[in-house]
Amino acid sequence: MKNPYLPMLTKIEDIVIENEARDIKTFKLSFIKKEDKENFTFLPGQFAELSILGVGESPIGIASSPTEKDYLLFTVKRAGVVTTRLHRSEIGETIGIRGPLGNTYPLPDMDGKNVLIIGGGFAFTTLRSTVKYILEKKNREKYKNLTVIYGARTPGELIYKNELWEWEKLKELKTYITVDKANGDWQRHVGVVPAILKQVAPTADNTIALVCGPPIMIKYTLLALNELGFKPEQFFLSLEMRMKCGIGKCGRCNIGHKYVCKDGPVFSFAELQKLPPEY
Amino acid sequence: MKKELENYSILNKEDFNKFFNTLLGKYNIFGPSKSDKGDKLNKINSADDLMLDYKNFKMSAKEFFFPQCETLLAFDPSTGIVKNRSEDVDAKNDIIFGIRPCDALALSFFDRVFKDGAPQDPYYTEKRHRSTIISLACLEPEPTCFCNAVGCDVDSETGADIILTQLNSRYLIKSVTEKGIEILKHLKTLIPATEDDIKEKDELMAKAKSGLKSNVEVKALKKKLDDFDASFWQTVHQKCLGCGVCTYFCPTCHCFDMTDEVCNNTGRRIRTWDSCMFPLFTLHASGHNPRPSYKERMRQRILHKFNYAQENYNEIFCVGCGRCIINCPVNLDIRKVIQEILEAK
Repeated sequence: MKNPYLPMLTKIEDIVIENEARDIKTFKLSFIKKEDKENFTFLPGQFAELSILGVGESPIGIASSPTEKDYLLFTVKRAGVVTTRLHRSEIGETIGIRGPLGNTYPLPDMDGKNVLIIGGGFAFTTLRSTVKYILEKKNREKYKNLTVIYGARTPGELIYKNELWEWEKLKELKTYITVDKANGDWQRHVGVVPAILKQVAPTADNTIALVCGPPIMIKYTLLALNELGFKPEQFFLSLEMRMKCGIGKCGRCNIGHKYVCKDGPVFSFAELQKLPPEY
Repeated sequence: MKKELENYSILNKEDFNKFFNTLLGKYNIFGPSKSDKGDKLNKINSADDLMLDYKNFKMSAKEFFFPQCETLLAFDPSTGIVKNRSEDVDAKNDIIFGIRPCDALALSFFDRVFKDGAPQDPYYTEKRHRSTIISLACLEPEPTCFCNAVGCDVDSETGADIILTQLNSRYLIKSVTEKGIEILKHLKTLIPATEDDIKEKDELMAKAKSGLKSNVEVKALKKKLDDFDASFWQTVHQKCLGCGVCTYFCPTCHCFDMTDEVCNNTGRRIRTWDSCMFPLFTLHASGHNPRPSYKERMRQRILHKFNYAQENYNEIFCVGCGRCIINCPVNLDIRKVIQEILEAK
């Protein structure tokens, strides 16, 4: 019997400080055992439990794409006990990982459709995985237009900056980067994500939208999507909840009868409308 | 032999010790013991220590399969090397002898969560595979019992492999599962049951059932509970102190926490029982809490048992054992909560 509670061991290969506040870091991990690497197959949207033995575990979305074969990326905001300890880790340290856990963005159902990615702040991790996945040559032809709208409070709070500037140059996607408040020589969009979404006004026709961000952004983004003619079945959200086991046993991350760890973290808005608003 | 009698057999009281000692030779037996007055499942080393005239365990039988504190893995804190939990597996399998039908039914709900739902929980499943459940029908329910209201009963068989009923001078034994049939095979102390034995059992059970006084009706409850924002949630929690005792004593509550500890240079990742009645249960690292007050937490406990379990497993995760009623420090009575909800406009 496979033990779902046993972490696989990885080594920290690289650490990137993502933001000006220096409380968001991206960890590049590689599996120590070859068989663990081979068994770890996932799709964008899934997460894993990162653990530091003696400290505990924390559920974190997988920020790398399955097409990035040799490593996994996890972007972690320093918030609680485990993430604070993670932030003190150095290259070469061992990190435990359990996963992949949860469901995925509905990538198979998005075949032949336009993809609209809407992200805010540090909640761009599994969306980055999705963009990277779609940009892979063999995947790109399956999807029509790819539009990315991503914003943060200030330019310094945007994550994956170098990659964003690369994406802006590509013809395979349209990238709209915005900040709530500009500073320095900021030349891109200024305004909250829902406002930019309305300006860009992507068509709802044959489009699937994936949304991830802070609650206030979500609230107004949903209104904007509604105005643009998106139906609740057409947009998907990735949710967060306090978790422990990650496999639907420990009983704490439920919204109604659904567990975010097992039935989620990705839900269509149509599904969420059927659940109590307790998240 | 008539078909309906096939799975029944009789054990005379004078043969009981012999019967029990034969099983003791082959299995580790856990049951209610005289040495702790039937408070909880104990290892039974002789038939004389077995206590079959107990009412019910103070703690439910769940802790045998799902201990309050259990090591999931051990590790070396200096090297970080993970050791799978080393456990000396006894050559003998286990018999859980004499738990009440409500606790046996509750185990079948645990099975749904830990054994039948992918991925399997290896710690629970391993213990469950090596054990056989022999339950004991209730002759005298307690005033706090309300099993009949939630789909359980004094002689409910679900979750048990064998069910034992104490008749006047003998025991009626029924094999419920293949596992049960296997264990009773070749036991010379057992003799075939007759229709009179079944009749006597039916009379005793009818008498026991008449002792169940609760008249709550949970069938109509689901519809009421589908209204998440109903006004009764404002009031039903008001007495609650949020101590969580109800969830610790509950035989169906399965929520747990996972924590790491390092002690004497040995690290362990352990799971401990947790409770939806605690604010920390759902507190995010950001400070946000989707269930910030007693109201939301009480609602979660009631909905998990009486609504979500029906959605997910088509079961009510309450067996009517009454432990939450007995142990509540402010006499919050779940039967009254259900009644209040049913009567709410």
